[in-house]
Amino acid sequence: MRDVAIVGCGFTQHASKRSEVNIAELVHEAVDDVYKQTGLNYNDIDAITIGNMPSFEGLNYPELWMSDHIYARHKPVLRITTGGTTGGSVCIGAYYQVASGMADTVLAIAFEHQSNGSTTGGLATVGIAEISILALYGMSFDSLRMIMGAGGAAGAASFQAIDYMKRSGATPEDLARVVVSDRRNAAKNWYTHLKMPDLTVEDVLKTPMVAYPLRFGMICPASDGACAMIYTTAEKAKKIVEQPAFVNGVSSVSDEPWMFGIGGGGFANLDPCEQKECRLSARAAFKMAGIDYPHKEIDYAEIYDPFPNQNLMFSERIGLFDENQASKAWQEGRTKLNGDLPINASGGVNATNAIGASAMERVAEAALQVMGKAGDHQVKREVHNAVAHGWGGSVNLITMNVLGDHPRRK
Amino acid sequence: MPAKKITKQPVQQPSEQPAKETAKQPSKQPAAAPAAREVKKKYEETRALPSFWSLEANTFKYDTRYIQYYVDHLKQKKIVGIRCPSCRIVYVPPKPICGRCHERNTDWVEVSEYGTVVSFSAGYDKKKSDMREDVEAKPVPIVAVKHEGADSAYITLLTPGIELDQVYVGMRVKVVWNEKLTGALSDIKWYDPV
Repeated sequence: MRDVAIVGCGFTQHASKRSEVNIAELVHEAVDDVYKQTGLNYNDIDAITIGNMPSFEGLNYPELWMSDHIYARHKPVLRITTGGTTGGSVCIGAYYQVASGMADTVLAIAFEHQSNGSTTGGLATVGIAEISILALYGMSFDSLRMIMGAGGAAGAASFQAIDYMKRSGATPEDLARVVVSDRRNAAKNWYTHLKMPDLTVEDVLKTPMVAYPLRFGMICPASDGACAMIYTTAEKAKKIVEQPAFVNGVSSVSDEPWMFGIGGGGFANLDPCEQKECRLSARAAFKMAGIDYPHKEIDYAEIYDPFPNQNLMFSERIGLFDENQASKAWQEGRTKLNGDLPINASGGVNATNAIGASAMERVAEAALQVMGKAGDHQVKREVHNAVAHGWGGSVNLITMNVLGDHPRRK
Repeated sequence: MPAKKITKQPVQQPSEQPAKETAKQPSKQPAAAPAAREVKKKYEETRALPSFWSLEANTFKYDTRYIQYYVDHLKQKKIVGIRCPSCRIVYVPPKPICGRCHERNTDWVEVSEYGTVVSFSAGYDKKKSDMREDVEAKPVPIVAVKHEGADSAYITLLTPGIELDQVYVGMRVKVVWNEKLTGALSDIKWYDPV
């Protein structure tokens, strides 16, 4: 396998409604930005991988009808879509193409224009098979309505949250602390959606409850935005940028589907906080990258945290903290920009969530930290190894990308 | 590659294409400062065309043997689960294939009508007349119950009137059967704390 490096990351401005652009124009902004950042152009690109959440915009094969806007003429285009982890999977797809030698330079794009379509309608296409069978077999409308509330992503996370808080002793303040850190960091990042430089824990705990124990102020926004990255071989990367971000480990692991219904057998993950798939995925990616002690060797982490309890839970499952100790690290300030293990300096998913692009932005932000190009939100400590995590699918797929400032040890 | 030759002379690129000028000479200079990025504020030409997407036309096919067996037993006030022949995990409600060993589940077992709450959440229900910001919505607890003898939990409701702060992980609950058993999922009306 060849060594693979990331040489540039492009973003669009994210907002709840980018109504002045259509999907193609939105993606075009990110693609132009990545070309501007790297000084490359479409002649240097051999292949394109692209992805978004299917059905959220109500459009099929957007990658092909916008091929003008992504400069895909006479190039292979591969669309990858795995729900919330789409961006992470697109990154892994781009990595495979370069590592295998099929292509030298690959453009990876992930986007979501949620205001264009109906997110609820899109989610219904995921859950309607389960809902229809419940209704057909005589579940009363009232129960169905309440249970459906628990079946969506916020519902799944709220059960996780209670389970996590029960076993680790984390309090609502601990959850709010994650949100405050994310949204304050987001204020330093130019493209993010929710910029709240003065947010406090009390402000978050004052907002109304959505799904106990998750409050309105703790839940990620729905954003419009796109992200584009360029993957290339280690040799070419050194000619393009001084410090590329080398992709040293990738992994994506699935578990049983985690739906609410009869068909799925209730909680198929018999334990909502076990997250076996996350442990396995982290183990595989770290093994590939040659990292034996993640809690010592990882300098920076981007955790996919649409809900704050997941930041705490996943960082433990990845191996950054000991079991049930994550909230302690947040209390001590270890995860701040100047801490010894900064997490989500970019603002994370909690501040910006363009579904398809979210997991790719985690990889892009980790790459920027390794390359030293994050700007205002560059962390104080030197970043040699960074990890980017993604969570999605039918709430059961974990993608991991481990980046480093040097190619993996052979 | 022939593809590269053809694209070398593109047909008229948009004028605001800085990438084109710097082509073939990758610079080692640091990337432009984030503030220099241009965000287009207005596209007069981009118009929204409203349309809707209906899901009505879809048909979902479902293997009803498992759920039919389950609801048939609900009519007799019995709760059945299905056990994986390989790893012995009992799924309540039943599902066709064990997600752990990919064996087809075959063994039906009866489980107790008592169970424990393994996790919970709450929905916030507002009446239409209360749709004001200052009205605090009343939380309705939603619980994940694991029956005794089963390994999987499923999400259900408690008897109305039970407050959220009375619910805790590990709470023992019991099925409250509907007065009229019809062989439907609604035969389990809700759960009562023991």
